[in-house]
Order: sequence, then C-alpha cells, then structure tokens
Amino acid sequence: MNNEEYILPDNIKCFLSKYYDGSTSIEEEKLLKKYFVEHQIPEFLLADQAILSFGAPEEVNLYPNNELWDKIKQNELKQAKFRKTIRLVSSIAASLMIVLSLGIGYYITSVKQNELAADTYSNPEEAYKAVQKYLGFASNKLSYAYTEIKPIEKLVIPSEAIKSFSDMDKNFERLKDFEKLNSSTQELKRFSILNDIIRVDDNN
Amino acid sequence: MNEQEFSQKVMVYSGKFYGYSYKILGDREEARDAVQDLYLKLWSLRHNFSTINNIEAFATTIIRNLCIDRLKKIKNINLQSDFYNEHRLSNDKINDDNYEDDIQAKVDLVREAINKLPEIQQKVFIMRDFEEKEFEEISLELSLTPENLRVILSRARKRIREIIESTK
Repeated sequence: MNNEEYILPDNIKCFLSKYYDGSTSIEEEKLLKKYFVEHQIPEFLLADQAILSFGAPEEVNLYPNNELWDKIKQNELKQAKFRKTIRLVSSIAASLMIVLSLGIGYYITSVKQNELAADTYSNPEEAYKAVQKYLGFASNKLSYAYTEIKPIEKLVIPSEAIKSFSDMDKNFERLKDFEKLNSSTQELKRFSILNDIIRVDDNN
Repeated sequence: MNEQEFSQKVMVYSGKFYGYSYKILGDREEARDAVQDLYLKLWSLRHNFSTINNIEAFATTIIRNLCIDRLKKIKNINLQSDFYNEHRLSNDKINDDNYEDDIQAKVDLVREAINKLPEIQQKVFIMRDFEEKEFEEISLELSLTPENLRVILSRARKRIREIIESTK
C-alpha cells in the first residue's frame, strides 16, 4: 500500500499518539487494536500493527486436562518416592551413627582397660628389678622423712612468742597483791569495830 | 479441595492459560510446560485456596511469572545463538513474500522485542496490553503508582516499536 495515499482517521491518530504516552484508556486501546487488525495497514504503520496485534484477543485454545491430571499424579508419586527415600536414607544414617558411636565408645573403654591391665614387662626378672628399684626409692624417701621429724620436747618456741605469756603472769601476780591488800583492810575494819564496842562498854 | 472441586474451579481455565502462555512464549512445547508447571503449583497450594479471593487472578499472576522466567531462558539460549538468529531472520525476510502480512511473524517480532525489555517493563506491558488490566489494578499488584506505571508502559511500548523498526 502506498504510504502517501494512506490517511489515518483522526481519532485513531490521536489514540495512537496517546497509546505511546501510556495515557489511553482500555476502551481506546480496544478500538485501536480492532482497527489495526481489521484494516489494511501501510508499511510505515507495520510496527504499530505488530504491537497492537500482540495484544489482540487470543484464540480459544483447548488444553487436554487429562494430561494435566497425569502430570499432577506423576509429580505426587515422585514427591512421595522422594520423601520415602529421604526418610530411608536419614534413618539409615541415624542408625549408622548410633552403631558407630557405640563402637567407638566400646573401643575406647576396652583400650583403656587393656592399658591398665596389661603387663609392661614381658620378662619377670626385669619386672622384679623395676619393682625393687621403685620400692628402694620409696623407702629411701620414707627414712629421710623420719630423720627430719623432731620430738616435741626439743621443740624450740621463739622467745617473742613466750614474752606475751610472761607479761600476763606478771599482771596476775600484781592482782594477787591487790587481793592481799584487800584482805588486810577487811581485818583492820574488824579491829576498828571491836575498838568501838570496847569504848562503848568503858563509857557505860 | 478435592479433585472434583479442583477440576470445576481451576482446571476450567487451562485453555485460557495455554493460549496466554503460547502468545507470550510463541512455542507450543514451552507453553505446555508452563501450564503444567502452573497446575502443579496450584495443586500443591489447593489447601490454601480458601484464603484466596480470586483463583483466576491468582493463577494469572503465577502463569505470567512462569512465562517471564521461561522468556529469560529463551533469551539466554538466543544470546548463545545470535549469529544463527540473525541469519534466520534475514533469510525469512528475503524468502517470504508475504512477510509483511503474516500476523504470526509480527507477533514473533513483538515477543522478541519484549524479551529484550527489563523485567518490570515486560510485566507492565503484558499486564496492560495483553491482560487488559486497569492501572489501579496493576499498581496494586506491582506496588507502583499509576503515574509511574504510565511512564514505564510508555517506555516499553516505544522501545518495542524501536526494536521492531530496527529489524525491518
């Protein structure tokens, strides 16, 4: 079609300009699509026709729903299998872990027991010598300890520690002197009472 | 939801979604796979349908995202074989006398152009020009203001036009 001969209707021209500005309404866009699908369009408007024919209402399509159901069932089976496999694998892994940890625990304890119970010397003479050596060492240390221990009588108490005790003794002795003084004054008092009685008798 | 309810309420849209994905993806096998993926997802979510107001709108959002994901994969494959595609397109143009009148070829061109857009522009263009949604509805779904949407849509449409023009 000759480009020069073709004149777009005014409303379509206006809608097309608005369409590229994003300001057309849905109804205006429907009119545009209808126009571009139903009319012979010149070459200079082919790009516009392409865009507007993309948005034109699509044909009614049929989709086999049985196929969809088959897919859904297959997927469900696959997922169930996957879940089952995961459960199986995890249970196997868990039981393996338990067996392994039990095994390791048993191995460690048995090794320790063997270490404790095992003979370190295969030759009894060597063992005897080793025991003798250790016993000798122990007795040597014991005798050294006995010689170092001193009898309690020989214990030397430092003079500074005793000094305080001697001060206390002195004070106690002073207190005894005071007690003596006290008893003598009481005796004096008794004498004075007797004197008073005698004086009274004399006066009578 | 049991199988019967699922068939009555969800399976009825399979043809619509197949047409939708075929138009966006341009490949019957890809569209079939997208629809299968959609229904596997919907079946796995069937126990939550009571919380969804509009199952058709919910499914449309899923199929749109599935199609955009598949478009990305196709784009990557096409990038790897760009040389082949360039030759194929130019040969098609030379050999096919009715190229300009072929609507399918035009739709293919638009699809290739959409493939080159940023994801947000792809979504907005598909939701407006293909799903014919109002700006308010799109803005709610994409959390964008209507003004912002108009700008994105305008850029997308102009860019698609440029790409188609450049392939002539």
